[in-house]
Amino acid sequence: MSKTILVVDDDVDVIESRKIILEHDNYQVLTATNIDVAWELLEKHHVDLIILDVMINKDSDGFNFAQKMKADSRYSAIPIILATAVNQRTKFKFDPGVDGDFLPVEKFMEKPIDPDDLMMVIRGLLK
Amino acid sequence: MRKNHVLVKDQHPLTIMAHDIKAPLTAIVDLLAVIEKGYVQDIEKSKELVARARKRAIGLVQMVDDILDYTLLSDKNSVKKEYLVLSEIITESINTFSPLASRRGVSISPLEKPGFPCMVYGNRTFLIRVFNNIIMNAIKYNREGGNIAVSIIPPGDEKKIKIIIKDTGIGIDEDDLKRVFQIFQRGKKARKNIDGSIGLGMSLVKQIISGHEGTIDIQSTLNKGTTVTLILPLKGGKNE
Repeated sequence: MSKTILVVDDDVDVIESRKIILEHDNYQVLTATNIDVAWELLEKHHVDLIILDVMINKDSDGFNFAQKMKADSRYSAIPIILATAVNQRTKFKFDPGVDGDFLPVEKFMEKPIDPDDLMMVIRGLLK
Repeated sequence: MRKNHVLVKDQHPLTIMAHDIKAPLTAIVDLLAVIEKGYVQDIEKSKELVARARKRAIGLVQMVDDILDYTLLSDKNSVKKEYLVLSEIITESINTFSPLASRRGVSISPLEKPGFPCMVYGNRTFLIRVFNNIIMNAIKYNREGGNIAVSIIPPGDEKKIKIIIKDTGIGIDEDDLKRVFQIFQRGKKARKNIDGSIGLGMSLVKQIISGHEGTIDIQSTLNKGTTVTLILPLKGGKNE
């Protein structure tokens, strides 16, 4: 049975790109452009992995979502790939290397994400 | 686990601008990478993705134009002015955006011909930009079955012309309303992909109106709509 991946990003073009790549590899794909819909999908479906935009709706909702998920025993085991367009260059003071300990996602990937790299990470996490 | 994450936003305008430019650029890279790496075989699907990337790129070009216009406005001598019939400019803007409004189920009431001369002295391109920007926002933040109405109010003794653009859209949040004219600010409900707007829009509108010795005011109620009021000096014509 194919695995299900939830893609959470407020950019519909990014979502479309991810969906194509994932379906190419026979994953079932769920998509959400906001956190409320992401939670609904999580509660209704079995999700094997989440690709999450950290700056969704520009309010760092992605962070809060990831933290809540990891604190919830129903979902804490689901691996999260956090996609971030923000880094020290843009003066957002979050450095995965330093601050990652308080946000236990499985992988940070800086946007734009190479499709081959993304698929390699996903295969590794879902082994 | 720490309760407060360390994500701190630097409010420097250039930082915000850089982020606003990077977002559509990453989307373009993602769309094209999918095709380049062979994840799409269907030619029609490839064309669709290229069209989406192109649309985002055009948005970026608009962003750059906004930035350049913003800097141009700071030099008043660079802005050429002429006598213009305001109702013609507004009608042109309404005609430009009527197809888009129609596709989104929003009606734009035709401008009633004012019964008085509504001549202003200004820059045609910039004034069209003002109305394009306001009408575009009125469409973007409207709803199916919504309406936009533009009216020109006759001048009183002060020889000023008032233009009111009223929509029945989703309205502007109070916090967003306070910042609406600030550079690089966009409201919470602004979606990333509708256009490439960098958040210069209303700031640019205000700059243009100020440069035409006018004023702009925005009133809004959430879920009811927004009213933009512009006041511009009325000009009698070349022999004034």
